[in-house]
Amino acid sequence: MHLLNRHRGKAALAAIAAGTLALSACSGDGDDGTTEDGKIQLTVQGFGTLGYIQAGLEEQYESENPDIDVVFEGDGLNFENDFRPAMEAALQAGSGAGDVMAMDEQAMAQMMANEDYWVDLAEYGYDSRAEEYPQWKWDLGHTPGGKLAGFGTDVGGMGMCYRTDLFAEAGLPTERTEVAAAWADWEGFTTVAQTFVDSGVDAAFLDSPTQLQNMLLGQVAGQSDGQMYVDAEGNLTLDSEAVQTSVNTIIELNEMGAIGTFVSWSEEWIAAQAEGGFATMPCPAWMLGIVEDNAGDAGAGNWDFAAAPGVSGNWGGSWLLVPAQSPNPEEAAALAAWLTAPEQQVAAFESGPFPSTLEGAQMVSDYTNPYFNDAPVGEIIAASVAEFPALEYTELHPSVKGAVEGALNGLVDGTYSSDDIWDAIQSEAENAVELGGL
Amino acid sequence: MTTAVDTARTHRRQTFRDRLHKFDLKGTPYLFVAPFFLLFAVFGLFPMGYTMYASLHDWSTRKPDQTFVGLDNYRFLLFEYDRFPWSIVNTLGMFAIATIPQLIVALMVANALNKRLRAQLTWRMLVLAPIVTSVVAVGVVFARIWGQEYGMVNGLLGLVGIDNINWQAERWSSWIAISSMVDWRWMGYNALIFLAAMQTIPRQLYEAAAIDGAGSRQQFWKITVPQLKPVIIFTTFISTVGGMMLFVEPMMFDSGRFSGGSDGQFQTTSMVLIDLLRTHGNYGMSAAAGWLLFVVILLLAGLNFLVVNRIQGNK
Repeated sequence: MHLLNRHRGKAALAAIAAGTLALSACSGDGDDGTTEDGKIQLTVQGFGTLGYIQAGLEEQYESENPDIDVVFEGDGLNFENDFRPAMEAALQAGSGAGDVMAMDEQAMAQMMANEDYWVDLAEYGYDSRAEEYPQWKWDLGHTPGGKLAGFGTDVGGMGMCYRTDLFAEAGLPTERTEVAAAWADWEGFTTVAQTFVDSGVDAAFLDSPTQLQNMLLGQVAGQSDGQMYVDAEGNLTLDSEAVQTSVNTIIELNEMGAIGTFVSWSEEWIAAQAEGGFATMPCPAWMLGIVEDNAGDAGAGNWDFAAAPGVSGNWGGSWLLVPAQSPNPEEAAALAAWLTAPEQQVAAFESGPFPSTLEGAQMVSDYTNPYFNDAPVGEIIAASVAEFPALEYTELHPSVKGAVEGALNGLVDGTYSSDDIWDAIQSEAENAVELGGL
Repeated sequence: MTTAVDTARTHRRQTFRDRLHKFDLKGTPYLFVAPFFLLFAVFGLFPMGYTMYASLHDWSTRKPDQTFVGLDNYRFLLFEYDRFPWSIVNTLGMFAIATIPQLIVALMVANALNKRLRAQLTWRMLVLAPIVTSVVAVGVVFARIWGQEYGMVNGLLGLVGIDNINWQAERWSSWIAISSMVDWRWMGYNALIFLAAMQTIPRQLYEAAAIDGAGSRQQFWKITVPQLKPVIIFTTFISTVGGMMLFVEPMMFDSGRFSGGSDGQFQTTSMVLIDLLRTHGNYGMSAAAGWLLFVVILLLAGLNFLVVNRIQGNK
């Protein structure tokens, strides 16, 4: 008993100490957003670094604006599990949301729904930036009431990452223009998958169902009525062309044996990128840096990057918003505008995120990636973004998407058969809508 | 007059002193324990009450207004949301698989550590190492050990000709993998408690037994185990509560997701609770899940209590 009490006592002490530290860390700056030496402190809340830290943008902005102290937070945070819930809580509580907040497109509809949370950037004259952006990227940064709440940072234009060694082993073309030609449309993609499976190479053709699902869903939605899993009123639209086409393609590829069980972001998925566990994976621009990190030296020289089947598409891409709770909204708006200006977008692109401004995209169009056999990444992504139609993600989209992806993983790991998968998707999606409670 | 007033004053003064004295005797102990109970009221009782209030409302963290819905959240969880009842099955299943071997191994390890060993302290410290290891690191390592293609376990099974198993795909297999993680983390903690208790067992008992010709196995079962009974009961109780709140290990096994596999194969009740709040922003439903989990733990604790009473009664 003694042992336990002492143990608990120490734990409690440690907890109290940690709590005090956290409290003092929070209160150190005072409430008016200034530091002790009188500088204005601007906190940028992000999920990951968004490429800003690697590009040294903090030092650059501080040297250009000596009265400003910039703090980047959120390195290493997962968007769905850590960042979004924390920011929801901070926005609701009225403090802790920072002066500039990054937001992924999947949650933009939800965030924009609360007009009061955001500063109207047009008040500071930034509505003039409209011409810098493609129309859709500019429009999605507005609230339903027409308030300009955010500047676009990057777009997740997509291509396909593939392993040249596995493709060669399976007797497929390895040169990226030939690969792109072979899977110019989705029928071609299925044929390539069949060839790969028939060759008996000891690897999966695709990593998992979910990446492909994302890519295909966005593409088909863009070409049809734009409808994905769920509409703005919270009604499921699982019979939409996008959902039907994408899920049926997954079912077909799975029956063929072309899809691996490397669940995205799992340890096995990471290991497989180095070991050659799968031959291809849909890659948004920002995924290239991740593949390079995961595959490392073991996979060097084996990865390449080609244009995706169909009209490509978009996945991810973020905005910088200025929460109304910021004590220095004008300075915060200036920082957000600077961070999203073409030059800074290009600097951040070094670590992956593809510039969303027209000028920025132009500036990186001749960029090649040495890790991917000098693939012309800038050109491929720019082409995919140029053709990309605007998609609107509804408020319940993220949770229904999670539910559908869980079911698709279940299809591949054998939990569901091709016959039950639609029932599973339907019931999981219904639960997500019921729990989301619009 | 003066005398009377004086007497009255003395009398009053004495009463005050008396009262102070009385208070010192009877009240001070309460003052000493008050900090704990004040903290408990703020961080324990108040949240419980608030959670109860929230659980009766349709309350989303993404919308400003709440409406009273009575027991509707409870009804949905118990009768419509299949993942919730299954999560209780998962939690109980993993508890059973994890705790029983864990306590037995801990007892054996403690017994071994209680013998004369070289570098005794080092061994005792090493047993505790898993507890101070970061859970996230443990999660990453175990996810690799139980991986389908590149996992160590499948590699070893492959040597005897067994095909790769997807440990996450089935209920039983994922339970085994997660239990191994739980056992690895908590076995040392229980072993240390057992060890501390073993050292309080009088030497004479063993000496007498040895003279009577009892071997070490007999000594262990006839002396050590019966003497440790209260401590065994205590560790069982703590493991029960801990096991019912299992969260980090299964979450890390699914790379930080709350859905516990493709169909909730290893989604524990705590994971459902967090999933409801974080993925769906449904505070009311999450609060209801919290209260249901509380009731389940109460029932198990009651059961424990009954069993303990039986054991002690038999003594």
